[in-house]
Amino acid sequence: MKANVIVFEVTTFILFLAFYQGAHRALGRSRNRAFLVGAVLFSLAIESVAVAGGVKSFYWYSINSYYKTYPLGGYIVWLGVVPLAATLLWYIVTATSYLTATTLIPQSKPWVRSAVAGAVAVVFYMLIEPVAVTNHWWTWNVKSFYVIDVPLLSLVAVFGAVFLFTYVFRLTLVDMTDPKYLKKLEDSTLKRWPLKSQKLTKNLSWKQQLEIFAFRLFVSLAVFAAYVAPFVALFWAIANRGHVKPNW
Amino acid sequence: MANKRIELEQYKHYFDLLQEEPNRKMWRRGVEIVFVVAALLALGMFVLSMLSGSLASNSRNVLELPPAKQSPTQQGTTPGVTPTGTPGTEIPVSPTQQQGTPITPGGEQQNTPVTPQGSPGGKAPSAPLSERLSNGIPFGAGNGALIAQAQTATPETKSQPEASPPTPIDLQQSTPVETTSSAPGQQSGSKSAKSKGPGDQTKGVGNLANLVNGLGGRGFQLYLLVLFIGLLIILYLPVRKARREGKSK
Repeated sequence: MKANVIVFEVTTFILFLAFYQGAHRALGRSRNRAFLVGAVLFSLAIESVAVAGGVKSFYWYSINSYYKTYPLGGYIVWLGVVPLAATLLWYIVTATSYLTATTLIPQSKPWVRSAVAGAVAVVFYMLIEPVAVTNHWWTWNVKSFYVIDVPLLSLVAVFGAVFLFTYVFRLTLVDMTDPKYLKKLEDSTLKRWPLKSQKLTKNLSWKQQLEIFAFRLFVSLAVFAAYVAPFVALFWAIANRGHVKPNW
Repeated sequence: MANKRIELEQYKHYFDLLQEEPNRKMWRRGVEIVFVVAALLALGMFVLSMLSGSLASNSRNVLELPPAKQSPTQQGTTPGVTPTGTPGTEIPVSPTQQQGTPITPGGEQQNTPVTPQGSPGGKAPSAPLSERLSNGIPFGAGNGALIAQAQTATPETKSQPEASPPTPIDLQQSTPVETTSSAPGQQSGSKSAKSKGPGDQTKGVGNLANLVNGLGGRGFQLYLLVLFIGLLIILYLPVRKARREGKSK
């Protein structure tokens, strides 16, 4: 049997609807909405860069006559070059990991919780990735070090992305803190012009807090790029599979 | 009183804290739903991966091009081809799509024969990956036009009779693992790749098929089972903690 991409997409959508109901009870309605939008945009940005760079592809089903059977690359709903299902899956995994970490170790430091969340997400993706690459839900094509046809880089990236996202979420919308290393940057950029307010995050309105959240997510994308870059170089050096000349 | 009024005026701009900090009962309910759905997701992936075991056993499946669908006219005429295809194999190429060769009015294929050794246990789209690459065919390109282009460049193809009957494509999955060494075209490709760096196929620990066929063919299943049980334990711990908190109150 072949679990084609439509099976994956429909399953993800159904699970997402049920998951959202639970997450808005556990996180709070507005926070969950912010988590969802943030997670979708954050993963979309990362995956779009991966697709544009030829590292990852979601188009296997759109090649040759498969296009007649599975138009739009197999997936029904797309956000640019990335299917919505892939970003919703990332949301489900990230929210589950975040809730696991906050429930199990509520009193620990934020970065420890985020690290635990990242580790849980990696375990999730260790289960998902082999199924995905076998059934061509997505395809990896990068010169890197592979374990069971999954590049280690992807698992490292999942850890980093989940760590950064949950850390920023907790820092901004739950603890509402202003760490020193961000305060200087935010005071000179975001709080000077769009917000026009030098108040602490906890004293801002919800809408302004969302703007701070978006800004910090944007900064964390740059941090993510800096985090991933050495691993790309390292796995490139010890690669056991090359980059197949792609045209997809 | 005035201060209180100002405070309330300010507060209305804030989000509803009662909504954002749900009571513990609601939180527990939410946590239970979240982790049950996450467990269902893990279960779904586990089941799908078990069902995909036969596909995973073919090492070239991961980076192979998708095959074209077989047309109903070819299904009954091509000998040795099962219409549905066995697990781990793909549907053979249709006459309209196969390698861009012309089709006679009778619908008979004029096709470059595909050697059975070319893709044992593999897919129908004829040439192996590295062979396609060595022919200068872009990896994701459509079969038709690009193969035709390659055929005009090679004298061997020209010498073949135009009306040669199609050779049956071996779709039987005899031995699950066939790595780069199985196909002649890939051998040359891997030799050239060795000089330049890693090839286009994973080997050793990097190859999923090795895991699938390891431990008496149960390697992949064991891997999935361990991960699945580990995930269930990870997901159960917060639920248990939330329930204990509820009982203690």
